[in-house]
Amino acid sequence: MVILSDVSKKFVVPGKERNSLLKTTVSSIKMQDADKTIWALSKISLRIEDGEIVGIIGPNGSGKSTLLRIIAGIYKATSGAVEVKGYTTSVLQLGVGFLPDLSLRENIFLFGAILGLERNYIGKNFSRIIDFSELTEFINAEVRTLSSGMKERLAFSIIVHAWKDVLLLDEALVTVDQRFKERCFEIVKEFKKSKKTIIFSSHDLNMAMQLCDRVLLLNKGQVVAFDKPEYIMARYKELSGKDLNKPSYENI
Amino acid sequence: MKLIDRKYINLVYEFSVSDFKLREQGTVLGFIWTLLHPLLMFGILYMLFAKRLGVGIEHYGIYLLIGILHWNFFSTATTQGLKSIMMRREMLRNICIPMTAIVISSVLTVFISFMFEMVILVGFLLFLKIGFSAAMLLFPVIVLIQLLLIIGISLVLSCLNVYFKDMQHIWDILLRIGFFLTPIFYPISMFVSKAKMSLYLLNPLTQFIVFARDVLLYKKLPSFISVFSIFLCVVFLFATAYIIFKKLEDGIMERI
Repeated sequence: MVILSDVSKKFVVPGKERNSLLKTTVSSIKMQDADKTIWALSKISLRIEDGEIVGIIGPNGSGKSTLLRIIAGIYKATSGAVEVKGYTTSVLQLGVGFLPDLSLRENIFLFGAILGLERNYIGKNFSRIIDFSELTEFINAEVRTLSSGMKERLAFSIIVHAWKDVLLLDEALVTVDQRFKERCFEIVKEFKKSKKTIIFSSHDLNMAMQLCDRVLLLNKGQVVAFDKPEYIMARYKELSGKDLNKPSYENI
Repeated sequence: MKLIDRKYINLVYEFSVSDFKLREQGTVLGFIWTLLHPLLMFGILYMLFAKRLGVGIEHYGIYLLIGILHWNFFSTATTQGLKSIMMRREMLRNICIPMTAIVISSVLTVFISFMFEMVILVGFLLFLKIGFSAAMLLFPVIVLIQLLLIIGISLVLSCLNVYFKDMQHIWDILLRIGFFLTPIFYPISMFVSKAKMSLYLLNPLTQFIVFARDVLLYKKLPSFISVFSIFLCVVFLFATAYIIFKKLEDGIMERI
């Protein structure tokens, strides 16, 4: 269960010339470039029950990733309260965490440890992980030789084994093929039965519509709507109709 | 810090071992490459100073080698520690993992190499028929205290490196100065008057190198008081470093 109440997140964009000790000293003498603040999220309140499949959609920069990072505990909210009941597995980008120069086998153990799996647990489930990813023939190849879709497949296969209560994914399954995507949907629906929650952001509206119990529509750091997919579709079109529907090439 | 947590230990283990594999390219040959740097240093300093600074020193070669290997461990480990958070920024931004695990494992990676170097050093001791003594049993204790100090320093440096991009250059310069302020290739008594000695001994690296030479080379047991007091100092420094780390930690995620 995930409960957010009045969660806001402020980012400070430092004025230029402050990323080194030398420059900081110089620029504080010169008194230039005040820091700017950006509110990436403002006053977000929502409640997600156990066993819900929730998609987050919204234009670029609407706060999807920031929201996921706050739920994951990567960012601390500037104000408001975040309550997550249960073990959270957060892999905001599938494929991050692999070391490209090591083999698939070594990376499965490494990535498993990153997700909190113990070595002998991975050892026992090793063949299931690699079978699910359908990459058995590459088991001794280096991860850098995989395509990005294959990397996502490998990551997802490990994640499925680490998924205890809440799973958070950002822009998940963008590069995998349709067949694998459908297998993932099956898994997600199966896990739903055992009250496992998944929250993911996506630009793939079809995927969100097909899979989700509820969809959260964000815009400029605020909740536009959080409801059943069929209601959200219209709102999203309305939102994007204003600035996205008519692509204009005149200014290019 | 959840040092007893099995998941945490597992994570540190996987990070260290995979980093080590990458550093050494998984081969004995790769290990020779990382050894080459201290050995080259050793060769040059030995040729330069064996007949000069080293005249009054018994087994100057080993004396020098112990100094260089310890210094090399300290400087490489702190430098890797300093870079560790920035190097894993992509992972930290996307997966919720304890930051300390990243810093500690990058230090441990260098520690693994250091242990192999120590095996080679023991080989030299046997070859030169210096042999073993009971005092040697104290060596692991001394190394562990040193490791704690290095982890403490690395925790602070790794955070500062996020706040200030020129931290690496600053640390590089400090290390270069430190190399000459530490009795690596010269005897302590040579340049330092008795009055300034206590000031000079404030450098913890000096202490560790002196201890290591005593127990490995000269079969001399350092006094309990001296080892215990350095242990207390290191614990104090580590606690301070950890508090600073905790203060700096919160601002890091938004800066990487």
